[in-house]
Amino acid sequence: MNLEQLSQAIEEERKVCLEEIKEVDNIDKLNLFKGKHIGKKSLLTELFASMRNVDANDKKEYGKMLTSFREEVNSLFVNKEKELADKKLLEKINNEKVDITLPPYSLPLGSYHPLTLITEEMVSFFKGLGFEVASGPEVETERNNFELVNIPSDHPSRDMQDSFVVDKGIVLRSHTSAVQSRVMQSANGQSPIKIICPGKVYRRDSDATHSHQFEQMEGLVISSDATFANLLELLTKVLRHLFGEKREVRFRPSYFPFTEPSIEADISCFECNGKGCSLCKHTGWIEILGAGMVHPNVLRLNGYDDNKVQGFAFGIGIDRVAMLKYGIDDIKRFYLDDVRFLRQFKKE
Amino acid sequence: MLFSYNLLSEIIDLKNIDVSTLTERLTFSGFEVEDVLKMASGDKLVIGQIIECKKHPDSDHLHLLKVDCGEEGILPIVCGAPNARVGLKVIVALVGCNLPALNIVIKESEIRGYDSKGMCCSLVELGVNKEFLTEKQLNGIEELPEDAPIGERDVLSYLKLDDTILDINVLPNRPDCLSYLGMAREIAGLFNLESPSVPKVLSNDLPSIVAVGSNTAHCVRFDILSIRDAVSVKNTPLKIRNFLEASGVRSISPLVDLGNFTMLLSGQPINVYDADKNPFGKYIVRDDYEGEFIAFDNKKYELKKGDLVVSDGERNLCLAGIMASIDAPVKENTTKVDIEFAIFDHVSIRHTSSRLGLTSFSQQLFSKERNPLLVNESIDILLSLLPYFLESYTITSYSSYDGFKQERVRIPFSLEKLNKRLGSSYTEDEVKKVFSSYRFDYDGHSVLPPIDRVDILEQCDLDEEIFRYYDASKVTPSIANFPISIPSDDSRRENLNIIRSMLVCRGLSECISYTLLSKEEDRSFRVFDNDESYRVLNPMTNIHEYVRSDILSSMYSLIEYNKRNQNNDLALFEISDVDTKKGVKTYLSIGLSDDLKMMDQAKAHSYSFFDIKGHILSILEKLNINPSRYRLVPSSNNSFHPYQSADLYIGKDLVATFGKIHPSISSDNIYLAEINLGYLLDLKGMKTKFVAYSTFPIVKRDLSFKLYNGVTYEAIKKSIMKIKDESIIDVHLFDYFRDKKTNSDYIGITIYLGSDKKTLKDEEINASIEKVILAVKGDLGLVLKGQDDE
Ligand SMILES: [Zn+2]
Repeated sequence: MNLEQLSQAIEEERKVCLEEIKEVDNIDKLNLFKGKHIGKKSLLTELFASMRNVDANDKKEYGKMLTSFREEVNSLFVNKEKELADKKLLEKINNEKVDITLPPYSLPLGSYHPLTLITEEMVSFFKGLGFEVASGPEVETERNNFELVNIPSDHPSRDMQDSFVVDKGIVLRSHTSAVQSRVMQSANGQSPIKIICPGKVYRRDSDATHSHQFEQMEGLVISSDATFANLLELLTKVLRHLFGEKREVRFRPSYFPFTEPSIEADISCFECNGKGCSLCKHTGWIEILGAGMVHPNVLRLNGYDDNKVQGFAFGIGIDRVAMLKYGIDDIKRFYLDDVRFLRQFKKE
Repeated sequence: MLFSYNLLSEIIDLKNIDVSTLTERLTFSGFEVEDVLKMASGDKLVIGQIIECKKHPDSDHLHLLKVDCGEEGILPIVCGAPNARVGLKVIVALVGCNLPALNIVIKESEIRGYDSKGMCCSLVELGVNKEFLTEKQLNGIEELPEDAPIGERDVLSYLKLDDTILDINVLPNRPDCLSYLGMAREIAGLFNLESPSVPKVLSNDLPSIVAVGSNTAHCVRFDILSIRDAVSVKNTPLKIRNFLEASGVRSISPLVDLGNFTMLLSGQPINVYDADKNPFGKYIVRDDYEGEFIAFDNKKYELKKGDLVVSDGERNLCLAGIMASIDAPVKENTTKVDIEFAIFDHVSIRHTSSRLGLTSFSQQLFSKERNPLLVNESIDILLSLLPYFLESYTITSYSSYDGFKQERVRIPFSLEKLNKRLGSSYTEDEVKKVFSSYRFDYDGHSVLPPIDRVDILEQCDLDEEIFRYYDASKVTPSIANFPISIPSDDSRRENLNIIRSMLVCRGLSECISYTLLSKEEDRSFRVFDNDESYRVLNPMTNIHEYVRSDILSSMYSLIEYNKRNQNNDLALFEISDVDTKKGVKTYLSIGLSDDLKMMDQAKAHSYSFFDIKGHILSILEKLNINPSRYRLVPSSNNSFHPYQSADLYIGKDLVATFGKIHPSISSDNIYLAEINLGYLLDLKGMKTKFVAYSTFPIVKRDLSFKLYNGVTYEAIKKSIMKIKDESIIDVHLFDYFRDKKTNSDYIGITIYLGSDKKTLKDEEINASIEKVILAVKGDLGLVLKGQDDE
C-alpha cells in the first residue's frame, strides 16, 4: 500500500467512524465501537500491521499518518465516553431531587423555663463584672431572714412581709436578703464581697401579680469604698441590658430596713415609650427593683466595722422582670407549667 | 394613707402648689403618691328645683320633670329616681356635662317619646365613694337642703366636694407622716414653707381630779382630759364630714368624729370613755392581767401577761390601744366623757393585736413608734376642735401620768463621710438647707432632729434626708471605686447549666413547680428521703403545706395537670434545690408521657423504659462518669413498675431511680426519673486522657443466641469480655426480638475484633469467635440460633 492508498483508506475509515460514533448512545455500543475501530481486529490495527510492507522511504510518513488517525479515533471514543458518563451522572442527580421544604429528621428542641432565662441573663451580666453566685437554704432561720438584715421582731416592716413559719425561729425565707447575712457571716469581716443570689422566696400573698412562691435575685457589694454612685451606674446598666439600651432609668427614694438611703428604680415604659398605657398604669414608668446602701446596722450585725467598709445591695423580682419582658399576664403560669406556655421559651 | 388636698391646704399654705406639683415632689422624695382621685367630678352642673313631676304614661318608674335651673331656664328631664317630687332641690347635669364616674357626656335625648335636656344626679353619679353614702343616697337622686341656691353653677364647691384625694404610701420609717400635721410638716420642709405649729390651748389652771397611772414600763404617758355637760352638735359639720370621708373614715356621730378627726390631724390615737361607767374616776394601765377579756361586741379573748389593759382599779375598761371592753362603751347621749391621750409601747400593741387578730385605725397608729412629747400638741388640737363638735361643754379636769425620760441626743454628722458613702459632691450649703427646711438643729458637726422625727438615729438617716431632698440626679452614676475581684471556681453551677442545656437539646422542657405540697403529694413518690418533710405551721391552704423533700411528685402532678389540659406526649424536667431535714439537696426530675414526637417526617414511637434510661446515662456520660463506677439494679421503689424500672447506685449510694410508673398509679404510658444531681455534680468526673487507637482494620462478626431463663444482655457481654483474648475488643447489641411462632427471645450481638499490632487472619478470627461461643455456652448455657433443639 502506498501513501495515497493509505490516505484513501483512512479517509474512508474516518467517514465510517464519524457516522458510527453518532449512533452510540450507551456504554455497550461504545464498547462495540471500540472493538471495531481501535481493537485488535480493527482496520486500524490491520493498517499498522501492513507497515512492514511499505517502502522504506515512506515508512516514516506512513507511521505518522496512522498515529495521527489513531489519536483521532481515540479522542472520538474518549469524548463519547465522557459524554455518556456526564449524561448518566445528570440522570442520577435528576433522580435525587428532594422537597427541601419538608421537615427535618429531628427531635424538636425542648425549652428553658422563662424564669431560668431571666436569671441566667442577669447572672451572666454580673459574672462579667466579677460577681460570684451565692446560695442558701430556703428553710431559713428568722435570725438570717430578719434579725441580721435589720428587721428585729418588733420592727414595723415585718408587716410588709408575712412569712411562712416552719418552727419556732425557722421560716421559709421571705427574701433572698437572707443569703446576704450568710455570706457576710462566713466572710469573717473580709472584703470585698461581690455576690448575687438568685433563688426562690415565699410569702403569704396571692393574686395575679403575687404568688406565695416567687423568685428574686439579691445583689450585695461590700468594700472599703463602694459607693451609691456605683449602685446607680450598675442598676442603669443592668436594666438597659435586660430591657434595651433605649430605656430611661430613674430612681426614687424609698425605704427598706436593710438599706439607707434606699431607692426604687423605674424604667421608661417599653410598651408606650413613656406616653402612658395600661402596662405602666398611664405613668410612662414601670417600677422594677429596690436597692440602697447597706444599713450600717446590717454591717455591724454581721461582723463588719461600719467605719471601715460600706456597700450596697439590690433586689430584683425575677418573675416581675419575666412578666414584663415576655408580656405574661398571670404569675401562676410560671408554676403551672402548661407545656403550651413552656414551649414558647427557647433562647438562653 | 388618704390625704385630702383641701385639708392639707388648711394646715399649710398650698396656694402656689397645685396637686400635680405636690404629687411629683412627694413621689421623688420617698412618698410615692399611688393614686390621685377627685372627691367628685362633673363639669356642667347646676342646682335646680323640680316644679312639675308627672308619671310617664308608658313606664311604671319614669317621671317627666320640669326643673327650674335659674338662668338655664326650665328644663324638661325624664328621670327614673323614686324620690323625684315637686319642690325638691336637685343637682342637674346639663347637656354637655362630662361625668367621669359614669364615663358619659350628657346629651339632649328623647326617652320613650319625651324630650330630656339633662339629668338629675345622685352623688354616686358624681363619683363619690359609695361606702360613705346612706341607703337613701344610693337609691335616689341627691336631695339638697331647702335653702340651696337655684342656678348655682359651682355645685361641687357648694357641696364641699371640690377636693382631691392623694393616696400616699407612707413607709414604715415615717410614722410621723401618718397624720395631716406630720404630712404637712414634711411638705413644708420639701417646699420651704413655714412649718405648721399648734397654738397652746390647754390651760395650766385645770385641776387633776381623775386619778391616772401606769404600773408598766410599756406605758410611759397616760393623760385624761375630762369634759362634762357636753352637748353634741346635731350633725358633724359638712366640711369636716367630707374631710373624714376624703381620708377614708366614715362619719358616725359628732363625738366619734371628734376623736377620729383629732387622730387624723395629730396622729395621736384617742380613746373616749363614758365617765358614768367609771365611778371611781381612776385609770390605771397594767400589764399583769391574765384571763378573759370580753370586748364591747361581746367577743371573748384570752389575755396573757404583757398585754396592756386600762383598768379602773377593779374592772378592765379596755384592751389598751386596741378595743373597749363590754363594760365601757360610750352611750350615744352621754354628757360626761374622759378622753385618753396615751403612749403605749408599739411593740406590745403589735404583739397583742397580731396574736388576737385584732386591727383598727387607732391600733395601727399605736403600733408605730411615737414620741410621748407629742401628746401635748394632740391635746391642744382636740381642744381647738371641740367647738365644731360640741354645742356646749365644760372642761373639768386634766390629769397626766408622765414617766417618759426625755433623752435627746445630738447625732454626729460629717459631710465628708456622706460624700464618700454616696460618691456624691454635696456642699455644706446644700446640707444646711436640708437641715433647716426639716427643722433639724445643725451646728456644723452634729444634728438635733425635731421631736416628731423618731426615725433619725445615726448619720445614715441624715444621709437619706439629704439624698431624698434633692433630685436623685445629684448623685452621678459612676464606676469609680467599684471594687475589682476575681471570682472563685463556679464549675458546679456551670456543669448544672450544661446538663440543663443538654436536656433542652434532647427535647425536654424545663419546669419550675411549687415547693409547698399537700400532705398526699408529699407522701407519694419518695425516692431519696423517707423522713418527715418540713411542714409550714401557717399555710395559706392545705394544698401548699409541706416543704417537698423530693421533686418527683411535683413532676407527676405536672404531667397530670398537662394531660387534663389535653397536652399529651410530654417530655419535662425540673432541677431544683430541696430543703430536707438532712440538708439542702439538688435534685433533677424527668417525666415522659405517651409518645416521643419527632419532627413530623421522622418516626415517632411510644416512650419506653429505654428512652428515660437514655436521658439518665447521657447525663452520666456528660459528667464523664465512667460506666464502671455505677451499677443498675431492678428498682425496689414500689411507685414504679417492678420490671421496667431501675435504681442507679454509685458505691452504696442510691443516685437515681427511673422507669415506668406503677400501673396501679396510672395506666397511662408515663416514665419518671428522680436523680440526685447534686451528688453527681460533686463527684469528680474522670480525668480526660488520650488513648492511642489501633491503625489495623477492625473486623465485625454477628452472632445470634436463643435466650433462656432471664439471661441478660449484660451477662452475655460480661461473659464475652472476660475471655482472655486480646483480639476481642467490644460487644454491641444489634437485635433483640421475639419469635412470635415459638414465643422464644433471641438476641443478636456484634463482636468487634482487632489487634493494634497486625491485621487479623481468618483463622485467628474464627478461633476467637469459637471462644466466644464456648464461653456463652459454658457460662450461661446459651446456644447459637438454629443450633437449638427445636
Ligand atoms: Zn406604658
